[in-house]
Amino acid sequence: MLVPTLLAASVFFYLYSSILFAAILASSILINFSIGKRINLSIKYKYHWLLAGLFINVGYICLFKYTDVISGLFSFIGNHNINSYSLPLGISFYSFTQMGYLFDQFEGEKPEKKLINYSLFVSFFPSVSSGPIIQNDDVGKQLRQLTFKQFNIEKITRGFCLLLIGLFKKVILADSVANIANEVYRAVNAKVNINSLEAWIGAVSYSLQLYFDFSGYSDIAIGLAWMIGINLPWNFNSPYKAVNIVDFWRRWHISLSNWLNNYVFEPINYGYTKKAKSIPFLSKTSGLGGYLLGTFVTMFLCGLWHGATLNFILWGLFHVVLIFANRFWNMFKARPGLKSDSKNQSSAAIWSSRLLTFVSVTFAWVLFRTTNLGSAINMWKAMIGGNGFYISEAFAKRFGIVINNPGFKFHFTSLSHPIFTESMFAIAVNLFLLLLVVFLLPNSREIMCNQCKVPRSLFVKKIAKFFTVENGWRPSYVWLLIMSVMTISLVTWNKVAEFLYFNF
Amino acid sequence: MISERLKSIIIKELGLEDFVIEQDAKANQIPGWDSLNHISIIVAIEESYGIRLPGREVRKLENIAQLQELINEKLSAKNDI
Amino acid sequence: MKYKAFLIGLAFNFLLAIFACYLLDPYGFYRKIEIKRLNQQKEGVRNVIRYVKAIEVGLRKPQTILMGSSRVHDGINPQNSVLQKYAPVYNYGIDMLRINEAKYYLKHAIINGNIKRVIFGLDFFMFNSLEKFNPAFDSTLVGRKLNFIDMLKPCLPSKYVVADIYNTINISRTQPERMEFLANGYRPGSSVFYHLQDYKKLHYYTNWIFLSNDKQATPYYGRYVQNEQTFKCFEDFLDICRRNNIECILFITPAHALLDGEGIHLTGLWDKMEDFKRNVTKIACEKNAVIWDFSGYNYVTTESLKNPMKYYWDSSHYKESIGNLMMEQMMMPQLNNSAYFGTRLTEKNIEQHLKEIRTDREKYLKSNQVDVTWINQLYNRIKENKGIPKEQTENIFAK
Repeated sequence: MLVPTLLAASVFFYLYSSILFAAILASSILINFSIGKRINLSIKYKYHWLLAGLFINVGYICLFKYTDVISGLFSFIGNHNINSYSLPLGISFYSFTQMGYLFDQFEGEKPEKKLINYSLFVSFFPSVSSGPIIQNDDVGKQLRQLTFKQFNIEKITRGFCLLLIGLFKKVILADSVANIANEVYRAVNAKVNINSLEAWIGAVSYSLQLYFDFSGYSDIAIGLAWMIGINLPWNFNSPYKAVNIVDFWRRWHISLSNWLNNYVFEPINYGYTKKAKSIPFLSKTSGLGGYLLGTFVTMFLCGLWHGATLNFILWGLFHVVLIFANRFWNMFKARPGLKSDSKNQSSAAIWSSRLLTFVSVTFAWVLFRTTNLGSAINMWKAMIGGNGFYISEAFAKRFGIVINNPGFKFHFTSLSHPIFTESMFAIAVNLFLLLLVVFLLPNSREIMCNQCKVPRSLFVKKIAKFFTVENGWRPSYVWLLIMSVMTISLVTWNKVAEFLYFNF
Repeated sequence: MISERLKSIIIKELGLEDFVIEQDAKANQIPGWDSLNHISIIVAIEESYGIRLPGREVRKLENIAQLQELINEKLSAKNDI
Repeated sequence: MKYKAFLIGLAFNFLLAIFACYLLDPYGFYRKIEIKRLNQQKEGVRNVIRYVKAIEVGLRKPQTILMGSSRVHDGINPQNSVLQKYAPVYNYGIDMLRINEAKYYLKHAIINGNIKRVIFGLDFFMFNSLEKFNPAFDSTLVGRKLNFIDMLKPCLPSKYVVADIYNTINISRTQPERMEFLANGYRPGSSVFYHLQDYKKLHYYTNWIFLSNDKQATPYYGRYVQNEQTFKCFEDFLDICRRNNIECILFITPAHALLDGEGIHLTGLWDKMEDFKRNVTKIACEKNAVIWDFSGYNYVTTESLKNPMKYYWDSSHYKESIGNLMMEQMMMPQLNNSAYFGTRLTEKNIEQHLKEIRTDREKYLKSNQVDVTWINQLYNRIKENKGIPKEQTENIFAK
């Protein structure tokens, strides 16, 4: 009887966070389960039930995430532990999973008949706290069909290795750059005038931290689920290798962008396109108009999903601008669209596209990291040299460049504030290695996923053979060594680590 | 078997003139078929055949041939009612 | 490779790593192998002293503990012959110890050890209520019984332990004569101040730290608040000793007169310092604890600044010979050694004693004008908000 066992494990895991949060999750599950049934059975009121369900889920998120209700409730029940998270664990994730379920019911999918199966689907412990957002006809189906016989040592080993990789990314890689990013942003928030080099070090560090932290956590979830015999959807696919912003969104937080695409973007685009076709002056641009409107609403909601502050909303809108810019650029190039993996592009063109995309996304992440617009502007100003472009003293002397002349708006400075506790050399090595990993190495999906078809060049095939991944991951002495080193992250996990996406 | 009608709808929506859609063609192999134009292609197909293609089902399609099968399915369902 | 073999190999490697951490022992808990140039210098202790002392006192189970700040930590050798009849002796000194923390550490030692005697070196800065607990103080660890997991953690290969092992091996290799953290908790000054070549500059640095009013730095004399609460804490400390039949011997530590005399005077804390001495004397006498004062303007504390110095490393830390002398005087006062420089304090003689210190100070000011000018100039520079002069921080230690 696997489903009850897994449900019990998930309940136990979730209760560990707080009984109050578990009660909230339970109520959400019960409400959504019954509304799902209603949507399926009803003929006249399908739409109304769907709206009610969406309203309730969004209401849950708004209420428990964006107001002080939780701290009030905590005081009421006598929990004064200041280390408790202030919002129910995973509420954004499990609410979205369930909204997806309601949408699917509306579109005629078969409902989940048993409450116990539905409860396990929503509260499944690897994915409930930080995603990926899952679908009922995929993960739900797998959970229903799971049997004890399906446990085998291969899945357990591969799952554990993926879990180790994820842990390693999180507690070793992400944490190593977190310190650097924190030091720079602390200075920015304190209105210290940092130069362009310091600003970029901070911005790039944060971009790397965010990626390793979140993708590491997704790997942990997927690896854990593999050990149980469940395949969760991949959430990341080397996002910083994206050649344009649209490609980026196919590689970053894939489960969320798929969700937004399926349930927000396409319906809005579709609705507008259809309606616009019957309005004379809009019909010619109905497709483009639908796309623009859909993108705008989607990215606005995406920003809002992360937080109800101005910075998150602006971050969403920042991406809207980037996406529009990309589309108009393509249109002006008069070619019917640029493929992201086009073999016709030269290596230089691909790498400069990647660089441009990485830089744009890094600028956007500044809004993610700062808590108010002022700090973000300070950071951007520093990044474009508003407080001075960094230049080494030796270089300046050689070329007769005047430094520290604040007479000009954009001047040169060699001033390096003592905001870093590590040496500049250590920071440079750290960033260089991580950028190497992000731009050149295969990602965890490419290494561990046996069913994923990853195209390989001949050179890469040789490396793949050495690392025994040419036909999918296989254990070998090389991997024994690598994984043994990575067990360092198993123990380090014990310390309280910064979990960026834990508060969503 | 991808019908000529479907091929012409696609070619018209994307503004392609000389492109030949093979039997095993996939959407991402057709120039210009991406998220920008996907919905307008679907809407054009729906309007031409008078059917409804739910997003959920379109997502599961792997190539144009399967799209044709889906269209046929919806057509026969419509004619049965 | 078979999956089963892989998993077994992984588990085996993990256990091997645990064993390696246990042997290399960067915190000095187990000391199974101590090899020069490999791990004699236990670098793991350096940044987590409060943690290490909490674990170690449970492992060593001493009968006598030496408590206090780094002045005790670096200056009083538990191997001192006069202490041997009270063996095993453990140096429980903790850098920058605050009186609030001392209470918890005492409880911790009692719960986890076999304490019969405490020798406690009091510092004036210990009673600064501006910082009640050092940020590194772990209230979930100190004050409870240690368990198996606490003992296992230092062997588990986390990134912190691995980094500490790396540092241990690195410094042991490059500084093979250095052995700073001993099994009995002692930090020999010769290892703490390894390769000290410029005493005067180091004294400058110490005084700067103590007299600075920098809000971001640990508060010493530059930012000082006196409060009843700290004396209540001290009282509780002595009560704990009494309740557990622990003999308590207290002494006020002798920092250099330029720091704990002139420095205190310059920062306007002289009266507070006298009140501090009055209060601790009163409380100690009430609770039948013995209390000595080694501070003031005696021949030890007024040693002239020169290179090298005989009694001091820096203005705060006295050398081992002074530590030995103090222990001798306190344990065997009847020897009447002419080198003895401390005074046993009672409620009857405290006022006279404080008066004598004031007189001694007058004499000092007259006959040590060079050193006095030196400290005055240092303090003026602090008040003018100029930073410490760069050359004062360079070349203090030889490479």
